[in-house]
Amino acid sequence: MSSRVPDQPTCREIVELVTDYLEGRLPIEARTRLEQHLVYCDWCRVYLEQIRQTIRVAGSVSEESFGSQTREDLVRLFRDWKGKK
Amino acid sequence: MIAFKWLSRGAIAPFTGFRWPADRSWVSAPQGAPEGSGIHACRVEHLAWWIGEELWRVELDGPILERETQIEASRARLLDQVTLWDPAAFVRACVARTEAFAAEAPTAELADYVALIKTVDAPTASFVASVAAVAARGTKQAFAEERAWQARWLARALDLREE
Repeated sequence: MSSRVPDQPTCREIVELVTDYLEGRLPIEARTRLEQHLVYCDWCRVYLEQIRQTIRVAGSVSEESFGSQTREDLVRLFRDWKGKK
Repeated sequence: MIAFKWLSRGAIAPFTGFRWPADRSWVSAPQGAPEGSGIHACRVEHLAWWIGEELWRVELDGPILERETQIEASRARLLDQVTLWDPAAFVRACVARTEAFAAEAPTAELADYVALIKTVDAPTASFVASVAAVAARGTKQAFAEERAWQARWLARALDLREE
């Protein structure tokens, strides 16, 4: 349906713009189009809120806040993930 | 200048989460903030682009930046809520418009829009009716024209006047 709409981003384009939007780096025209999309798109509103929460939570976590077991688990997961790439 | 502002329930700005004071106290945008970071509001003609749960009459102060679908000021305050705003009535108007478009151009696509618009909320109904206008008329400008029609409907139904 959105292909019918002139100058309005699709959900896929919104996903690509979200980081710049949250960091206040979008030019006013792009920001306006993104916000107009959010007015009617529940999915993108939910996605934006998830990213906001992730930033909030990740921003409050320090290396010291993990126990040694959690740190080891994370390092192992990261190594496994790198090994699969 | 008197203009309008759509907010989420509880007078909360939908994009920033800012809770607007309802006691008519003034709110200022941060000094030296980048372009676009002022207080946004609508002229009547802009209303259909930003539909939300609550509509408020606002007073703007200072220089007004005019944009295609909104205006921006450095200072504003809420005056009163437009209690005549009835999302269900607006959806019914959009459904009737979409049905008229489907009668004008009876295609499967427009029949889908008629089915869809009966299931959605007011902001989405505004969007679906505008997309249906494009499908029926075959021109991209039909989208903005339909938003303009909706703004006129809102002005009439809610007795809105800029001052």
